Amino acid sequence: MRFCVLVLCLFFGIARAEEIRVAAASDLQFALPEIIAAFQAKNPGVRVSASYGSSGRFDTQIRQGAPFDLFFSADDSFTKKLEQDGFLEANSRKLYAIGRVVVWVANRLKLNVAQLGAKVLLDPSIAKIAIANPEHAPYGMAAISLLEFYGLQIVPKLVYAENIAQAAQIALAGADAGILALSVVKNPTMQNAGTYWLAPLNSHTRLNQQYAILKSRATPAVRAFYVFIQTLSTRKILNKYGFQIPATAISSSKP
Amino acid sequence: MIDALTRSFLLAFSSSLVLLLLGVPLAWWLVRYRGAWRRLLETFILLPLTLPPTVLGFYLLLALGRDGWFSKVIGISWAFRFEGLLIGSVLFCLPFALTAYREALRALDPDWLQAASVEGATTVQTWRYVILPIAAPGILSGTLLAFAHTLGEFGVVLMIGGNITGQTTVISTYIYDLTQSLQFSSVNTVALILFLTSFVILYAARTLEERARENSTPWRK
Repeated sequence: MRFCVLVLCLFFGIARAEEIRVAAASDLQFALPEIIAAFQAKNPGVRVSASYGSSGRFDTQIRQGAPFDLFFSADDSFTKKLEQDGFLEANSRKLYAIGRVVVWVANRLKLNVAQLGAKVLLDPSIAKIAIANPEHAPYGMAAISLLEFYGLQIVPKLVYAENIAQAAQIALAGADAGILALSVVKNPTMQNAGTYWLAPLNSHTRLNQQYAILKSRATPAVRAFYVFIQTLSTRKILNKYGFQIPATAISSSKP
Repeated sequence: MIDALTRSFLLAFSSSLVLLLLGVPLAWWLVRYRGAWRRLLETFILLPLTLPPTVLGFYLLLALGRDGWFSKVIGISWAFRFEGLLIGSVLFCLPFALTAYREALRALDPDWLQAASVEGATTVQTWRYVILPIAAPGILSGTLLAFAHTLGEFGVVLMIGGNITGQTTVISTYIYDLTQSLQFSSVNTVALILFLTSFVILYAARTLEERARENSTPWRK
């Protein structure tokens, strides 16, 4: 009898996987699944489920009490404000990557974006340019600052998407070009449909992507995933998908 | 995908069940009641037809969120939960279901109800042997419409549920996620499932509606 109870306890202990819920900026759409798979392989019994969207959307949802454990923002402004307002675990705010911005143009336009750079957007054959909504998406804010940096007055051509992944989808399906994330345009579907030019880091507002644990959510499993993000293997994955990793970024970053 | 599909069907089933239990008595009352409040109440119930679903969802989020009125007054915070999705779906589908229920109940000949009461039938007996046999096809068709409508709803569930993976993602918001991660072939698969399901449900509802029309024309009896 006692043995049966023990077996049952063990069974449920193993069968009931602990779940970690992550709210992630949508430029992590392709990199994070691989990171999660690597983490779950090392931590059987923990399940990580990620939702993707604009950082501004998650900021609102977290303030409304959405049940997330970790928040991966696309910059550091949302995490700073959330920390100030007491929604994050103290001192858990940390840099995990630097987001890189690209100008992406559909192949069918036959424009040499690698050579022309941001000026390609002035080309009359480009009628619509997809960007993320600068109201609440860091990549949208970066896109606007990029246009200002190069003095490109093309605001009427802009089409706004909820987040950077949706901007890519719009660029792919309907628009001619987009100011997008490197981590999104490296996706094979995007690679096949267009070419891109990598904007230098100083040409747009910096995307110091931070993540943090939400208030009173620091269970051992959440902590484990939090630490896993800082490991070399995770950084390699992030780098492979088009993120600049902090070690190389910090030296060149403004304070 | 299975997760989102299961949640969608569970949501559609629960919301049509709630509508059936709540909506039929409400429709009955609306058909009978002649007071001044009726038109006002009917207008409120019909509002979701014209308001954008995002508006309904936004106010539900305010009401059911952490600092919402409900959480302050009765300690209920149902935003980002299945319960929140259910409330949103019920409110959003109420005009569709209620209109169908009302038509079904209005088609009842008052003489039959009077006959039943003259014969000494109890309320339960009147419903069991007079009202339901005649109104059932209309009621069922309204419920089916609400079911299909819940399956396809997007704005309300996105706002109130927040499209949280594994928690409040339903089939429509899952398709939204899939398009954003550029998984267009999966989009096609899920959309096909949704298309076929909706087709079958709507076809069944139309069939029932025709039967309801036959029921309401006494000379065919």
